[in-house]
Amino acid sequence: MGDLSLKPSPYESVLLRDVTGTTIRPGGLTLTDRALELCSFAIGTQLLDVGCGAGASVEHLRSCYGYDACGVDISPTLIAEGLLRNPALQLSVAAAEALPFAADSFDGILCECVLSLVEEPLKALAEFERMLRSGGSLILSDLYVKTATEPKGNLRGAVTRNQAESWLTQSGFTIVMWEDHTALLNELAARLILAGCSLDGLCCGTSGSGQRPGYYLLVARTA
Amino acid sequence: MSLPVEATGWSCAACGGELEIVKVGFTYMKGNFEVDLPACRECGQVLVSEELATGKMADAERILEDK
Repeated sequence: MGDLSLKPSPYESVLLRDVTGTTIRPGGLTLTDRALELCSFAIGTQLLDVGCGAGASVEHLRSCYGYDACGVDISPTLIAEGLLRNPALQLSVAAAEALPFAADSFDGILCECVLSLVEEPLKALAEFERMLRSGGSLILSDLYVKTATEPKGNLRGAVTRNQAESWLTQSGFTIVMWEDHTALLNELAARLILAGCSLDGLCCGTSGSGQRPGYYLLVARTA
Repeated sequence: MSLPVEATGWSCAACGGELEIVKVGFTYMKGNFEVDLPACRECGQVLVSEELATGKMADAERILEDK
């Protein structure tokens, strides 16, 4: 997902996407599939991908599962790229904290490797809760800080597992599954290094003695 | 693709063939990786320069080991 600044986001980098493919996150669609397996949505389920980038996951959700999926991203560049690739996709530019949909519009929201980049994560979670129908599922994957000590380097908005869980509870969600996928984050960072891509400004950054982040996948439900 | 500076002046020790850049796959800690490396165009023997071994490869190894 792009950031709010005017300079190009590292997530729009061609070199980065040569390594990550169409999804710009650890685990790519494999981790998305893992979450969907846990949720068992019916065909036609209405899903929203927040921070959809160029819409690769939205396309995957529609073509491989038959879900009625749409996506939003803060980056006009990535949304334009997605619509150029597939004009039939329902993609729009929006921030996670101000989603342009009515309340109770979706049965599921995916937010993969995005929440730590959002300016106001609690506001975003409140939006997700507002968007979801009763019993709706939130699929969240992101960086997390593995120890309570002050992180060094570029962990941006990553928080501890306890903090993330507390935010979710506070926002009206019940966590039904949490898995550690730090190995996928490390694998992506190694791929980027071998491709000669700088980790500066990226979620999988930190080098030298800096504390490295972990990566989680969770599913939470609304009441 | 042209050879990196550290790979110029080398020829294959096994067969004497010239080197060219090819995509080389390797596996480490259950991960499969690909990197462009100079390799013999005759027998495929790969040159891993000291700079690569102690630079990018060492960095990648440290990250995969979560250190």
